[in-house]
Amino acid sequence: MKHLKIYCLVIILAAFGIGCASILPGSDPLVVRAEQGLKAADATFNTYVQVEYANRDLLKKVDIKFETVADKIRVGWTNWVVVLDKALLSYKHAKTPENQAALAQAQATVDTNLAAAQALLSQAITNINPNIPKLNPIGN
Amino acid sequence: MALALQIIGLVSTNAPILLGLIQKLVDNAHQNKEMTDEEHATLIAAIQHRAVTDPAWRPSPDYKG
Repeated sequence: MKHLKIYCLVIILAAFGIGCASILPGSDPLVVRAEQGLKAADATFNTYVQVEYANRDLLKKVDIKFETVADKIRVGWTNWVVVLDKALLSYKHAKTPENQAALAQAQATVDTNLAAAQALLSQAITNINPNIPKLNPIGN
Repeated sequence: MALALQIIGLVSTNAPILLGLIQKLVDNAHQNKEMTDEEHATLIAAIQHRAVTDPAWRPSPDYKG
C-alpha cells in the first residue's frame, strides 16, 4: 500500500508538471498537450499493470475489477494508442475541425480508461485492509 | 526516524521505477514542444514492443477476451 502511495504521488506530480508547463512558441498547444497526455497515460497504465501483475492474488481478493481493468488496458492500450496516434498525426498535418474532433474522441477513450485505472489505484490505497501483507515492489 | 527509514527502504527498493517516473516528469517539463515524427514513431514502437515482451503486459490467465 505504501508503494502505491508513492506511485500515485509521482503520477500526480507528473500530471501537475504537465499542466503547469508553458508551450514553446511555434508549437500547437493542442498537439503538445495531446502528446504529453499520451506519455502520461502510458506511464499511468504501465504503473497500474505492473502493480496488478506483482500483486495479482492480493488485489483480486480486494476487488476483481483490478484484474479486469488491467486486462482491458493490456489488450486495449496498443489499439487506443494507434488510434490516438493516427488522429494526432492527421491533426498535425491538417488542422481541420474534423481532425480536431477525431483527436478529441481518441483522447476521450484513453481518458475514460485512465480514470478507471486511477480510481482503482486510489481504491487500493483507501480500502486495503492494513492487516494484509504489504504489496510487492514492481519491476523485479 | 522510523518513517525516514521506511521511505529510504521504499525508495531504494523501487529506485529504477521511481527514477524512470521522475525522468518522465523532468522530460515533460522541458519538452513543451511538438514531438518530431521520429520521436513519435519511437514512442509508439516502444509502447508496442513492451506490450509483447513484458510479462506484466500479458493478459492474466483469467482473461476470456
